[in-house]
Amino acid sequence: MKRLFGFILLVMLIVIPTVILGVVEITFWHSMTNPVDRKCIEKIVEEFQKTHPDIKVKIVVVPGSETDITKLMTAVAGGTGPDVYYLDRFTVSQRAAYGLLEPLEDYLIQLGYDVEALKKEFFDFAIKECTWNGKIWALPWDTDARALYYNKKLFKEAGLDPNVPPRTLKELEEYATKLTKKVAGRYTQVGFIPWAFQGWHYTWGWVFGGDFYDEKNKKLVFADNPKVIRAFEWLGEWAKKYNVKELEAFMSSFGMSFSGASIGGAEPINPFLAGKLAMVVDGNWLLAQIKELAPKDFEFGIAPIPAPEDGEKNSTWAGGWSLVIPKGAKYPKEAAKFIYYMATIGQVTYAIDTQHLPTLKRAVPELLRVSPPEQRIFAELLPTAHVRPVIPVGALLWDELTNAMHAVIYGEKKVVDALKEAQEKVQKELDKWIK
Amino acid sequence: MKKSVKKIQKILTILFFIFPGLFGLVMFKLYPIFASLFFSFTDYYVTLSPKWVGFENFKELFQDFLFLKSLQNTFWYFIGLVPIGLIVGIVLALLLVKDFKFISFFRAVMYLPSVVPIYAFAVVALNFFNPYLGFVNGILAKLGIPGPLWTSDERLVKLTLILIAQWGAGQQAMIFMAAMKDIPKELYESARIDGASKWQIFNKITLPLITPAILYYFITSSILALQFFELPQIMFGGGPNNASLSVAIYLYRHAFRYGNMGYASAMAWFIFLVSLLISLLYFKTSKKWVIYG
Repeated sequence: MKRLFGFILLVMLIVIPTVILGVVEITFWHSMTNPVDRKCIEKIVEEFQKTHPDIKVKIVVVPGSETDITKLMTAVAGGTGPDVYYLDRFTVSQRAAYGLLEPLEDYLIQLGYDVEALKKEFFDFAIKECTWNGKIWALPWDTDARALYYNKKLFKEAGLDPNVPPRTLKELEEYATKLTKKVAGRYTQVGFIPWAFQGWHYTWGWVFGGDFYDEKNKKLVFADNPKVIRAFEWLGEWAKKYNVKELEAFMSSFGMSFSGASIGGAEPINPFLAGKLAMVVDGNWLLAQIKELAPKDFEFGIAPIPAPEDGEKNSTWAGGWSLVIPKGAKYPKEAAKFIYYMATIGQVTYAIDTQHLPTLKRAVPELLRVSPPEQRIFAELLPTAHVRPVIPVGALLWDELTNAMHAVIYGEKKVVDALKEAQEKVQKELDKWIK
Repeated sequence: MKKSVKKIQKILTILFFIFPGLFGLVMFKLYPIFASLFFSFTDYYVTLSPKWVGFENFKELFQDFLFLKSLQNTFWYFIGLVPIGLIVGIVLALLLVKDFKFISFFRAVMYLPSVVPIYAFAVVALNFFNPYLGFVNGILAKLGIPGPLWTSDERLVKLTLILIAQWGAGQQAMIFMAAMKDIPKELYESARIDGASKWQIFNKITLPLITPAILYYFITSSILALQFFELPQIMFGGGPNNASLSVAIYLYRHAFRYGNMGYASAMAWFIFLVSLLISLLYFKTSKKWVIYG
């Protein structure tokens, strides 16, 4: 009798939640089209469903990019948005301010998680990016870091020691000159193009020791920062010395352009992997591309980005993605549970399988156990990495800095004017949000 | 009394039958158009309710360096695309209007580029004009001329785009050809008997009599030129250094990258008003130069 009673109880425990409460199906939209990343996500979701039988996750791959979230925006406005969305972390504050997100922190507290302890499990910079108005609106997903890659073979050809990468800005300039070849007025090999790939305004601004945003007073400060000005001037001098138009023509023969349009949308040829560009500043994801696309005898080295005397040594900055609950989600609590699982247990699996740098501190040693030794350099740079200003006009600031940088390297504007115009324009938009 | 009831019934029947079309027009055309007019006077970010700001957005436009630059670029597109497209279209039409063997083949070839999806076309065009590896500079190099940096020189990129856009000239050529076919043959015969030269025939008969088609071309192509978007966006993303940035691209950036719909709407209405003004100008002057058979 007792046995039977126990059996009935057990059956009821299993049946009741599914019949009365019902299995909840949450929708997860992401834009990771890379097959390795996509398969890993499927694997983590399956594990989650095993440990959480009351929640089913429907994965939908949607178009979207760093700053383009048209599909999410229209879906949320129409009330047909998903429960979980994969969002570029540097835009979390922007989307939160625009009313596009549900307050994840509130749901995590309702579910009984210790949010303060949870925050400490991640790198500070990643949590900082997820925070807006004193609350976290997202949990961080992967991250990345930037460094200098150089081609050892080309170093040897130019009579440079392949094991001594440039360490100062002066060395970088000297090396670049030696590594550049021009035949009949055309570049056949280029030593270095500072603004190509990940050599962004932020990259050089921070390398020179500059600062972009004053968090306390909520003011953009880059136009008045002598080090950012110096960084832009240096870019301008470089552009003049090598003639930016010819450099752009050189890049366009690989299907690339400085304005970011990867021409025709087709996968461009990377001039660094082709052995035509000797040095580049790029992210850790290039490691995977080198493994996959570079010729067998490709020899490369990685070093911190060279800095000027009064600049910042070992400077880098980190980006990456995050998971959020869009406004109007049907099952926000279940979504919060899923996000918690993904960001903690899921991230360890993701780091191991895909070689993306994790934002979860304890996933780093797990990653390094299985990664090529080069990954270590990036992992070591992470704790001191910069992040872009956490403001609700981050996408505009990015584009305006890019416009200012282009105006400088194409000689259209003076550095001081270009930066001042960008700062005034973005500050005006920013002020609308912080009243 | 009875009559008016019947009349109302008739109107209701008519309304019933035109309802689907009317509904579509109001819902998907008029409503968005007037909504965007309203949004152009607000700060609007889709998910938050719009906030009225009066003419702020429009004032902002004229202090925005990039908007002014995109306006200037669009002006150059307009100046280049409309007349060059006219000349290319008329020349093509003249070549293909006469009937000879395999003419339908050549006509099909002329129209073919207009059928190619713009994306595929842009990729081909880019390879064509690539400064280092492109076909154009390859030929120039064989002739001993150093090729210009078509796509990477910010002063040349607009010209490159205008030249590339001529691949779609088959469309206007088709219209001009149809207009030329409509010209009565007797006119040409009597001109020939009177000993008119080919140029005179073209200048005094063909050209005047296709002016209605030219008016149509001017209006449609001007509107298209003011909304020039796909080619510069796909090929250059507005670059280098925003030299190919058109108003439509800048509008797109504000709407979908910064979520700034109010400002984007203001831009859309500004360019609409410019289009309207130009169209009116064509109509006003058309009495002087358009000849209706």
